[in-house]
Amino acid sequence: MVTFLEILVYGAVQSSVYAMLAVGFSLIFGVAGVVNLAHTAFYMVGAYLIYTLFSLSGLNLIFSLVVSVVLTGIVGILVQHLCIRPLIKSEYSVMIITVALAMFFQEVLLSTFGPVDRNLTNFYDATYKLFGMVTIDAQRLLTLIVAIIIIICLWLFIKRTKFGRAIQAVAQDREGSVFMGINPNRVYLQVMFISACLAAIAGAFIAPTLGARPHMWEHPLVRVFICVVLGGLGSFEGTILAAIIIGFTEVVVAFSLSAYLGELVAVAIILFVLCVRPTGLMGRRAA
Amino acid sequence: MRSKTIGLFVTVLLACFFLTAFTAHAVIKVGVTGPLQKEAGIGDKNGAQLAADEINAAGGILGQKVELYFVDDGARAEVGVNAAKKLIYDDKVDVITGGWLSGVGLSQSQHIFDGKKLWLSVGPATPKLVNFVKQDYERAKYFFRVGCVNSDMFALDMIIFARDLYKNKMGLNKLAIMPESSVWAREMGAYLEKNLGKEGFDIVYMDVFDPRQTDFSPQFANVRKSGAQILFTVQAAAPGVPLTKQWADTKLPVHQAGYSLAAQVFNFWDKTGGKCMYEVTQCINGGRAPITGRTIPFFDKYVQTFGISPTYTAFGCYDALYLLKAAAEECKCLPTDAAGTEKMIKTIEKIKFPGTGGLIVFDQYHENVYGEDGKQPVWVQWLGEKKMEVIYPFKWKTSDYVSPAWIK
Repeated sequence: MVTFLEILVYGAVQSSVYAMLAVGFSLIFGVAGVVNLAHTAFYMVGAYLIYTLFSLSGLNLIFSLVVSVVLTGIVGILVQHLCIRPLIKSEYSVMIITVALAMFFQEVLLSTFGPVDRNLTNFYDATYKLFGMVTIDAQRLLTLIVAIIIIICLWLFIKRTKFGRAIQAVAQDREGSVFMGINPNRVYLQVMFISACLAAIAGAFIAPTLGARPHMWEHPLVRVFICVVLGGLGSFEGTILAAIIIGFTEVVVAFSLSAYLGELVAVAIILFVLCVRPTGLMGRRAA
Repeated sequence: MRSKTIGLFVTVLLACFFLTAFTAHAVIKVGVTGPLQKEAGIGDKNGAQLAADEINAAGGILGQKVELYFVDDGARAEVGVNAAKKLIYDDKVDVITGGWLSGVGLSQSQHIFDGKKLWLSVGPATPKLVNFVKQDYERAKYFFRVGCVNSDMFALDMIIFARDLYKNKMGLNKLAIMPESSVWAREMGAYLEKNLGKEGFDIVYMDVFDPRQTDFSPQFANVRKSGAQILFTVQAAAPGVPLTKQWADTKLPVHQAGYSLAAQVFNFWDKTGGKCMYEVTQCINGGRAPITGRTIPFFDKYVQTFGISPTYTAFGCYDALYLLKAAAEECKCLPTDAAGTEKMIKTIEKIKFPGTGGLIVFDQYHENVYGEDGKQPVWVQWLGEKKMEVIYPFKWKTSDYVSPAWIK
């Protein structure tokens, strides 16, 4: 019983982290067809911004969070407008430039902060025992709660608001959306802003557990890709489902076999699913 | 007139020849490889630089200045191979030192043997490197493990420490082991698993972790359930921060000890926000203890110069250059050509050099000897900011061991 509850809680935490990161990536791909390999660089930028504002400068937590997220969102807009938009007709060029951007951000942060890990203070220092049995620290519990709220809000935003319907319209048919009076380029900018903000939130909440370092964008990019490909490129619901599958798989494997095998098993699952269903769990088939 | 011109031409030619011959080895070129963006590589670089500056200020080695060539191996095998080749074929160094990961060292080894360069290896701890000397002495004789002892000896030292402190003084014997997945750490894990039982320890949990792992919740849950009293981690490539922070944040009721490269440096306190308090780490090649008469002066000078405490690679590279100097003075030779290198090898094989990390003595396979007659690691515990107190060997301790506040 204890193990089951532990898997439930830790799996949820792990899945929420992956979901927060992957959803933004999936969103920009689904709407603009952009494979933004700088997505986890936004996660890194968000982590360093909250480090600078909250841990280093001692500013108010809420203020630091809001400023970090908004600033990262603005960086996302600039990236979209200046780097991606001119090359949007070539997906390979977009991939190349976004990787270059990620490395550029890495080098800027390396020059500014050095190679040493930077400590981010926990937003709240406490340890809890959920269900009286499962030990978890406050930071990760907060990450789980915030991730759930954000994902629900994002889903409602996309499905129930006018702007969300505009996003869906552009994602379904760019030319058709123009006839409906929607400006696709403006939608791309706004979606990129949301995507970068989501990555920054993930960075801000996860970094206190890990520390901030200039190479921290590399490993999560693999996870993000796995979630998005498994879920189906461009599928919001599919990405969430994939994040849950990957997160829980890793935790179950860590409990029963070894944490070292978690990634291997997750990749094996993906290969199996893609063999059976090449478009991913909820991806759309090509016409 | 014509004969005067010819005479002048020949004189100039001869002057150029002798000048070139004289300046050709006016320096000893020492190549330092290591991951220069990480703690271990920073230690390689700083230790070598400090030694080179001191040696050059005192007149060099047999009158020759030491010139350092730094190449980043990126902690990756393919980059390390290119680094070694650059040092050997482009920079044409006379000696190679430094290094960190055993996997990288193993990849570089054949190229360094091909280049016939004296290799005063500091970082890699895998016993496999010494096996090359055992199997083919003529090819691999250039290798000397200067900077540490091999991973089996680290592990043996861990067992002795655990026995003397945790078992004999505190009555604890249930142990969990978590090595990272790098070559040497797994070798150590295997040695610990095989031999801890002989000292009366019960290994109740063991798992390997990826250095990139960020969430230790499942493993810590298993550690809790296993009833472990002590957690031995073995980590160098892993940043150390997530594991330490989660140990403290979840108040895992185990005494955390083992080997953590990151925890040997002063900035670990800042990196973990002080959550490394009570963590214990083995310092496999020196700490602030009177290991030899050179240890504490080196430690203090290093801190004064660089603002951080030296890693084992810093001790190692510093010792490597001074070992080179001592050997050169003993054999009156330099490793700048094949004959000089050969003589140097024979000298180093017999040398007993008081390094900063202990007495440097080599066995017949060029392995650094472990023990009271060789190198002895020290164990330090974090007890405050920049306060890494030596707790073992007891003869050198600056503080008693302090149990984590949340463990009753």
